Amino acid sequence: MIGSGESTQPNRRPGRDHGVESGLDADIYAKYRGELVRYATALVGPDDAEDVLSTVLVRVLRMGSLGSLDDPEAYLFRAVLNESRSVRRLVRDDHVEQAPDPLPEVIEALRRLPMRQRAAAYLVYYADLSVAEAAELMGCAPGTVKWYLHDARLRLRRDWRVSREQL
Amino acid sequence: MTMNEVQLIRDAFELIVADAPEAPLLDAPVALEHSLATSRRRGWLVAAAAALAVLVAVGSLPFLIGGSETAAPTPQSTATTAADPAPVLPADVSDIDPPPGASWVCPPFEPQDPESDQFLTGADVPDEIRYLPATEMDRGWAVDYGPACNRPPALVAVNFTDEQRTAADAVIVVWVEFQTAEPSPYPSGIADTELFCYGDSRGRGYCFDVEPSENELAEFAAQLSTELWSAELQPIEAGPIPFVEEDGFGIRQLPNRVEMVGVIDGLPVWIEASGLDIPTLQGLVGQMTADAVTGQVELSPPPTTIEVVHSAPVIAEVVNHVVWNVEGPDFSVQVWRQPYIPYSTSAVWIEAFRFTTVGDTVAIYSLEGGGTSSLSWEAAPGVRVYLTANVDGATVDELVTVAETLGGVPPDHPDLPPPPNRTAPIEGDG
Repeated sequence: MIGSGESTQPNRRPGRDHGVESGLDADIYAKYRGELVRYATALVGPDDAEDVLSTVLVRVLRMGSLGSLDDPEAYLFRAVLNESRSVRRLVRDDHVEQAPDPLPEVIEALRRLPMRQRAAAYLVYYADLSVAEAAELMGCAPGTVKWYLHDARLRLRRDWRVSREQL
Repeated sequence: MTMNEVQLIRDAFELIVADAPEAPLLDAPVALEHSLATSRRRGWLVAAAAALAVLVAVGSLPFLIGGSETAAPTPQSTATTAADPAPVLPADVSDIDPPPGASWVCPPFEPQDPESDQFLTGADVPDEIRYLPATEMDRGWAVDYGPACNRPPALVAVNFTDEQRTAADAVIVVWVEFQTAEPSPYPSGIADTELFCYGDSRGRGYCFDVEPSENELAEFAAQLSTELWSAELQPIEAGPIPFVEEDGFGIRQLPNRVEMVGVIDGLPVWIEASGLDIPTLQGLVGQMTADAVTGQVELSPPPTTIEVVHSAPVIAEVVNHVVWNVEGPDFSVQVWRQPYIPYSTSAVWIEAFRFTTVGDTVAIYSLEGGGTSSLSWEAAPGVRVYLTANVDGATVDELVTVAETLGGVPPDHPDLPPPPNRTAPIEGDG
């Protein structure tokens, strides 16, 4: 469930408005925290998403000011992805939850993807970002995102138990 | 990817994020305490994976797209940080003008907007890259990335470790004016965080936000190792590794290779070498001669310890960059219109490659951590194939067996797999 003050409806498109007028970190973070926690949940699941975001916040506090960054949104998304990789390491083999219907196999297949591939799939296929926009948030080249998506699809097709005829 | 598949992914993510917790507040001190406690509880694995396992380019990158961006035909992924600066190059390399008629200069061309990549199916797939293995395949299609500059290396020299030439422990590849805008391979990281970074001989960097013990590092290295390659992690500095100018060449030592950039007899060159220390490489480069017009580089006199396997004029050409993909349950195939220079792919990570043959051409087998294996060879002149196993740990023999069944498919072949459901423009495929 989204925290207070956030929409409970999924907002598929992370904010792309870079015109943050307030220099306060809290304001900048508040602008993106709903998307960030959904992003973290997509990457590591609901149990660890809060930890991931908390750790990112520690780094923000250490750094001093988000407002000094050219692109705080991209910084935060990259930080969430980087931090999520630590959790992924822990849950890769043993943290397999029973997924709810109707898509348990797809969800499991998504959870088995390498972190960056899952991030690319989330940003492009779910959040409706272009490859270029996803690349900006992930801190890599558009061609790299394309390769992540390509490889993710190979893995998903291999893992899905849903037959192609049923699609 | 079909729209139904995309919708399935959307629906799955919808369910996953529906359970998103409340986002912590930035100004709450408890967030700091909670997070630190969590980090301690996680132990070293948190640190190990934390951060920034950064993949750098492995394999040669013969395509220059747009003059600066490279597209790797190899199965390996490439990731870089956003703030990587361009390398520092000796001024006389970046300023040098090619002589009139230089064959290694690509004709002017307008690179295609990446967003305009197109699917090609059926008869639109160029005949020369349309290949299928005689095994069960699910689908085939091609992606047209537009025009690209195609330029093979000028020189490849290898030190084989056995008479059968199945393995090597050193290699040098000389490119003409290659990768002048190559991104820095190592992370600048999250600026505020102290990182403890290590590199492996594959050229990949791993950064930890807590310094690991020797045992922890060894355990992590064991996870990275494959049966062909035993990972050893050496400390590296986080951040770009600059070139150091020495005797007119820019030189930098990366964990898996040495790179040199400079000018030989008026020819600007980019040199990659693995398995050699800097003095040895400098000695060999000192023996190189070049033709600034043809781009050919030679080793003279030929060294006794390393064998020149390729030295030829470099003829650059603009090609329509189309990649044919075939996917099956056990294997995937990519076919590139690209010059194939034996042994050059292994330039930056020689030790985990093995060499074999498919038909009468040299093929390169690699085994990645996690069991991913692939085979690359030349199916026809200027046509390079990458065969990747979708099952873990496929052996070289298994891949060669499949490779040797590869055959061209006419446009109206009844066995041609069905195309994807979508048509152009595409996004995210490739």
